[in-house]
Amino acid sequence: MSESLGEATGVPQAGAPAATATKEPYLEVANLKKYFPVGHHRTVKAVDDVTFTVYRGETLALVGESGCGKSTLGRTILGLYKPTSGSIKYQGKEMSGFHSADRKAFARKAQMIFQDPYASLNPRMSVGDIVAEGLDIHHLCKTEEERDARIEELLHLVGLNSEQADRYPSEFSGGQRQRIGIARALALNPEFIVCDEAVSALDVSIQAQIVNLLRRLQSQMGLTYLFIAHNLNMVRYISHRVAVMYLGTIVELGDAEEVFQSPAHPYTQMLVDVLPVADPDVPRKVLARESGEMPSPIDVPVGCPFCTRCPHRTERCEKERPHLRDMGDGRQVACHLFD
Amino acid sequence: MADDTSKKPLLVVKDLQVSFDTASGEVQAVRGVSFHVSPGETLALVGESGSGKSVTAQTIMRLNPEPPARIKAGSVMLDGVEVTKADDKTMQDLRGKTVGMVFQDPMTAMNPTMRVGRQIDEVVLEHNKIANSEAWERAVRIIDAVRIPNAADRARQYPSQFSGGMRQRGVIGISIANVPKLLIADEPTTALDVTIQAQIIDLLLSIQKEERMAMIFITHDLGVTAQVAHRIAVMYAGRIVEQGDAHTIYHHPVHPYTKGLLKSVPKPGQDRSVDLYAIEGAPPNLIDPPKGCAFSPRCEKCMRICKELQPPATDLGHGHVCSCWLLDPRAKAVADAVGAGAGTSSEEGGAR
Repeated sequence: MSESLGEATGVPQAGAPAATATKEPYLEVANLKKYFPVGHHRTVKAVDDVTFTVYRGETLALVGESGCGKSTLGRTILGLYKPTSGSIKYQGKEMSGFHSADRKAFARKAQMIFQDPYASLNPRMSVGDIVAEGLDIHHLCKTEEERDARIEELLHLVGLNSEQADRYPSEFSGGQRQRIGIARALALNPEFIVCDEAVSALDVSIQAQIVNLLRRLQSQMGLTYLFIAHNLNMVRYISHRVAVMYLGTIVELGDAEEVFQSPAHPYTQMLVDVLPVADPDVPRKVLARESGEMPSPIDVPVGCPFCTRCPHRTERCEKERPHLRDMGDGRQVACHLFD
Repeated sequence: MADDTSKKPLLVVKDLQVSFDTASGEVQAVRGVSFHVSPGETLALVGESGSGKSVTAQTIMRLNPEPPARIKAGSVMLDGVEVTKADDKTMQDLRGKTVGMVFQDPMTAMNPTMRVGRQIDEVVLEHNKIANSEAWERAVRIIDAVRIPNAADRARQYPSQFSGGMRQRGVIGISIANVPKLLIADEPTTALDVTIQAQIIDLLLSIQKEERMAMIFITHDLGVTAQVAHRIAVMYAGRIVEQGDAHTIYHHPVHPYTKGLLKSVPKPGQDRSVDLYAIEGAPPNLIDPPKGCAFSPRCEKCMRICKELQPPATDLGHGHVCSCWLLDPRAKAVADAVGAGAGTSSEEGGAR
């Protein structure tokens, strides 16, 4: 790993999204549920029975509207929330026990990059201390020189220079802060990074810089990404596979390019339809008036979660919840239409 | 699209300069901005955070607290009124009547302790001498017009009982209560989900068409811009670097910043084996902006003159105006050489 870190300071090199993805299961999530009590005996079913696999070296995108549970799912996988039920297997080993050795091993291999580069860095810590915090906690550097060298290496890796280690976050722009957050995530040589809306808060011209950096790091270090986002054009570009979430459940999962080219689930269809195209000569698709809004995750419909807005709903959709079903070619869809 | 816009502009902004006096110095937020908007027309102000698009829009309504804001120079003619010199009374008459504003965050743009209908009829009563009951009826009609179901019941509810999309409809209701001639929408869909965003854009465009309003649409989203704008003004570091009709800006951009911005957005079917085009670096600090072109430190085609002098605005015809030294006849040789070398210039070429 340290070899690849040394090379990483070179010219950014492109890697096709397909270059790093494998078919080796890295994380297997099965029937995962995360409910939050909200008083008056009511619960928010933020993640409601979700099953999927993350393969080593791939970028799996989680997309959906706010409140669909994508962030909760990412955080539950990292162990920031205790799951209500269900299983998460890391390289074939169950991780449901929070204090097991496996859990700890995973915690070192799994990191997170946050959305807001202003709120996610401690303003009173120097950049060097922020980046090295994980190293300090795990006592990975024996000498001060070793620590400084590692900080320098990490800052170079994300396109910052070592003189900036003594400065404070307030001296940096949004894009630079996000680079600091990425350097911190890389400090422990992780295998798996949850990028929770990692570029959404950044300006357009800076987004491209950060996305290129994330892709370069992936091909150099063989990283596996769970990329949580709502910008579908960016998701289509960066990810190998995409999982579309709605009201705590995955409604469609498959190869990113294929899902966007030929969306199967009516909700995915709707998302793709309303996606604004950056070309004034392309006519705007006008939504049906009754396209509605996502219901509250407290009052989830009994049947298909999307049935309140679906143009194809039948009586069966209101009564019976559809489950993810294999459609071939790795595509899975939860919809009675494809029964 | 241009057919339904009349020729006489409703709003003419000329060489506007706005600064903020802060403890760390004068922040030159808007540094000489000129544009106009006609009835029935949508002008999109596009730019990144800190480019001065919101400050420009808020100056039209004089919403920036003065101080720290200070209008240094320039003029804003809105429906025959010189806004930069208007007194408070004149401005109060303008706000809510001649010009309405939709803000980005529907969660904070409403008063949480007032019924939604009351927040709308408040604006109606401010500018019309009518009975309270009549104003309330009008508020209910407006709520219905912004496509909120069960308008009469909803009018009696509080914003907290509304979803995000419905709140933004309510905010739009407040802003159009008196059918303003100009509607300023400052990132009206940025805080919303994509399906709700599409609904709100539908609503704004249909209201605009019915009432032939002039609209200024502020956004950083190039997809949304393409859907709403007749004309586009691209802002960078407090100046408009390029403006023109939507088709020209998207298909024949001239300024290197406009080109870079358009290229850095991934498009459907984009070649995923190649890195995204990225404009390196970051926008300048506006306390001490560069002497020459503000984009020059990030520009691939930067010449010596770019670092020394502000580029003049060059009229390319049909309302297409661009401020770039590459358009100077003397720059042609340089531009060709650099453009060919870098291999990044698009089909149209950097200079004419």
